[in-house]
Amino acid sequence: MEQYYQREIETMEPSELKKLQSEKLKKQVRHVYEHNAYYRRLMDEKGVKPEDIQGVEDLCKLPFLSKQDLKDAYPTGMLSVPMTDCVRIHSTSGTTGKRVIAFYTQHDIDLWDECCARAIVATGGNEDSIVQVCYGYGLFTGGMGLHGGAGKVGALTLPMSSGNTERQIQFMMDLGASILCCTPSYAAYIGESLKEQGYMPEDIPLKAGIFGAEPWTEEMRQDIEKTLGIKAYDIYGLTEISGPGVAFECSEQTGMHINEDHFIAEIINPETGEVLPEGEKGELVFTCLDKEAFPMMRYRTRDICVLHRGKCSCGRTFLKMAKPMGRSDDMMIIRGVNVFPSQIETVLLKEGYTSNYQIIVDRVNNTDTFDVYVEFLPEDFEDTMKSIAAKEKKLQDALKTMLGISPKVHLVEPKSIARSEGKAVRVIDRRKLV
Amino acid sequence: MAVKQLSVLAENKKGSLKEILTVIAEAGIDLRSISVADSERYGIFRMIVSDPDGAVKALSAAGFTSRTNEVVAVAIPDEPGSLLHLLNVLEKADINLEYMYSIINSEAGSAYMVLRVDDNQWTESILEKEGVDILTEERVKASFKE
Repeated sequence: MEQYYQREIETMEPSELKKLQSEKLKKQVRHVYEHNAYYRRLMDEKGVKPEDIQGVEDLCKLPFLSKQDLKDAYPTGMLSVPMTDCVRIHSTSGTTGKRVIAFYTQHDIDLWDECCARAIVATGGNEDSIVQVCYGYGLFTGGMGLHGGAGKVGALTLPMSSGNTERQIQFMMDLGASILCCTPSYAAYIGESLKEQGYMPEDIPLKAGIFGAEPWTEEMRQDIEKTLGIKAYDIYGLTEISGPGVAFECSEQTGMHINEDHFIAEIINPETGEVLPEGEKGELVFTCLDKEAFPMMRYRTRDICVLHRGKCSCGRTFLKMAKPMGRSDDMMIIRGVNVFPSQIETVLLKEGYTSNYQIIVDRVNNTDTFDVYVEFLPEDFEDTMKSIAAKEKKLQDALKTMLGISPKVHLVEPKSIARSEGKAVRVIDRRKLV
Repeated sequence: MAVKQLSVLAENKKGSLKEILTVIAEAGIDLRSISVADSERYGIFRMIVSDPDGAVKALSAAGFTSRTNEVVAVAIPDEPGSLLHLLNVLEKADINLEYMYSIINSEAGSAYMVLRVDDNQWTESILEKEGVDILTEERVKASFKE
């Protein structure tokens, strides 16, 4: 029997859902126009007034928001309520320029938690479940998001945060955790560690896993399901829109249901901005219908993806999104962390290196490897191996501070990184994720 | 008193030492000693040559990364245990030896050694006290054929 956290909403008739979205959109556009000077200016420039938006069909009249807008509006330009009304912030990793600070009122947190609660219940979770959250807690939305969702469901939450695998396994086994929430690569790692310790899938108390924050393949899903003896569910989200739970997978495991009562999804042509018909591949765009503090309107996620509406065997009527198939910008997701090549370039120049570098990303045993090759400055060369190792370490530390994850740094001979005539190949991603 | 050493960075690939030696030979520079340190990806060739500065110039023109730096050079008796004695002296003074190698010399009865340490002056003062024969640039130079 399929379980729902909010059956009447999750299985709402599409025509009713559209009506609900239209009403919310009208109200939301007014809220944003009145309280957000930045978006008001964009609307004015486009000659759109709140009264022009009478329903979902008018959505295409609204201007887009992009990461660049968030950068321009940093830190509080996108805030649409007084800061004193907010109860929390979260933030994306990255340079000050690329970093986004998202604000939440209590109402915003409640609806986000609700979205995560739907995701947990869709995996069979209920108030008797023991939910082990090993996404990072803190500015990252992963930990607090699933934590909030588990709280709504009334499950027992183990707020483990990431790392310390030995302790993760100990608590999992001693308390009998039933749902594991983490990145798929960490789930695979925990699975391998359990196997090494001699546990068979039937010895492991877990029943389900909710894995997201990084791209993963169907093969990886089957691998994790087999090792842990669970059903593995995908989850999608981004800090700008709220966090994990913008979309979640059901028992059918053929795409993620978008929480359409809170978010309208569109697919556009990333070059022209033109809205594409259902089923076509393009850039995913979200409009927040209920958020107060940080209500993104037509926010371009840069994720390339396909949407499908159709009858799902789980009974949910929400639109389904396929796993993102790539990006329309150069962002990479490495071990669950968003990385832009420009961040690496910034560090190199600050540390006195040239911008001649190469990033190689691969996946070995379900874990991302991240190598950065940088050319030596001839004047920096010394006669000992120790000095080279020390320079690599220093650069590695500086990159870790900037990115939040640690690459393996390799200093190489000057002029040894291939220079091509046209665009330099800065990134080689060998992970076959699509 | 220390002597000048030439160091060259080279990627760990087939033929790189040959290319470096070609440049040095074509510049008419004589080689007394060579030591190779290698890791998975690169090697550092350290050499005592007749004209280190000239070698850097020629190597740089050929696209190689190189540099000179000062190292301590000593002559030790050509007999069993003399290198061990030298190491004992360094150890007692708590001097960390980064690497060392020998130089071909034509002086009968002694062996020339290059020592890479952090502080050349301090090391030389310790060795001097222990009566170790410290080489000057001139003495090393003299070992090259005119």
